[in-house]
Amino acid sequence: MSADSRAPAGITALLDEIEADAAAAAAKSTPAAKPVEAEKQDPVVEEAKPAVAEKPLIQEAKPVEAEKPVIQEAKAVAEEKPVIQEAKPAEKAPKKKSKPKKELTGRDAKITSETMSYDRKEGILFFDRKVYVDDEQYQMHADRVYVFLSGTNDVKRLVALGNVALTNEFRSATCDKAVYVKAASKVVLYAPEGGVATLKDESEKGGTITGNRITFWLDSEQVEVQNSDITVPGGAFKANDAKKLLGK
Amino acid sequence: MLRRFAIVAMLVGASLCAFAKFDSEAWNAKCADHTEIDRLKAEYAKCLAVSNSAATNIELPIEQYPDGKIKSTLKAVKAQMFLDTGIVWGEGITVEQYDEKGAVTGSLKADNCVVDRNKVTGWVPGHATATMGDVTISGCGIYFSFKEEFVKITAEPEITVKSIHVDFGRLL
Repeated sequence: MSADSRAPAGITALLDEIEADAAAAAAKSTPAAKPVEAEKQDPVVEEAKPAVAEKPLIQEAKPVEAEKPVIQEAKAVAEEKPVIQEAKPAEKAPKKKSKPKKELTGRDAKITSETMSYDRKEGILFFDRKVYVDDEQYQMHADRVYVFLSGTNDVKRLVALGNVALTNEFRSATCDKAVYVKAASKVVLYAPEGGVATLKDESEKGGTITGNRITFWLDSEQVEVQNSDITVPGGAFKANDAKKLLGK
Repeated sequence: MLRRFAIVAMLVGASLCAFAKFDSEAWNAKCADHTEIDRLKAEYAKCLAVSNSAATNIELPIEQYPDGKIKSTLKAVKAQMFLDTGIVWGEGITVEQYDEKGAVTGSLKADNCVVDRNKVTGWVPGHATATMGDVTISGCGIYFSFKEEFVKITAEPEITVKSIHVDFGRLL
């Protein structure tokens, strides 16, 4: 019996993990459920859980939805570091620079790889080696990609493994694993061993978020970063913010 | 035989299965196992050596609607069936599916193929393209199993779809 020598090592455990994750995610698709879900997966987040539930660490100014935490940094919460909170008055909140919207042409998306397997019974597409997804809204490179389907062409889950790079004209993300779970409407970027997952704004004033795990809730546009290092462009915070940060 | 091949191949892009708990260990093993592919490759080579008596320019309807209108047709430049082994070999294969008004709804073009009717598995050594709706799948070296509803493209796979419905664009 011959076998592909590059059988996906380690994917078995990951697939099982995703199964468990999906079950939890389906029940807890709202941002409020994040800490509980994270608690099951990582003791680092568990440590920070009470503080996360009480107050957001970094709260970006949102004129309408000022109460929503935009970026939560679990590690700092655990260490009880001061909180950065943007001034709330809606009238004076800095206007977000709107990105020039790219008009979508509806062109076809193309996926290529070295080999591909499709299991209709299980609803799984598996792309192996040098996977490249060329979608109108983003491009993705990865060593391997599993697509879990539900119904006709409906992606239920997508798992990209190894040297994952996501890019479009505005931002880029690099990580070791990227998991998209439709039921929870979230994308999770996992860092490689000894490295970090990175989400970078490619614009002139762009910032960078790195961490062990970056979770992005697509519906609420909230981000949770574990062991984060966040670089923001100069001028992103006002003098008042610095005072709050330094506790003065 | 080829009708089954056509149906399965064209359904590659149109997945209809609900996801269920499965044995990932076994699934990964199945993906990596090339035993049946190697066997079919050997069968193809044997067929090629004795394909002198193959029928040429075959064109036949393979499926019909209840009112008699043609649902799908098969064309093959060459085809031969080996009754002793249950192996069917063909070259220059085109399968087309039609709606009730006669418009083409799906097509499959394969350079060549060999199908084992007993094991209901097949192998396309050359290039094949299947189109159905807004999905086009192409590649070389394609293994398929009707029983397992499993397809593996071993070289140059390419899937083109209108949208793959993954919201990575919003993350970015």
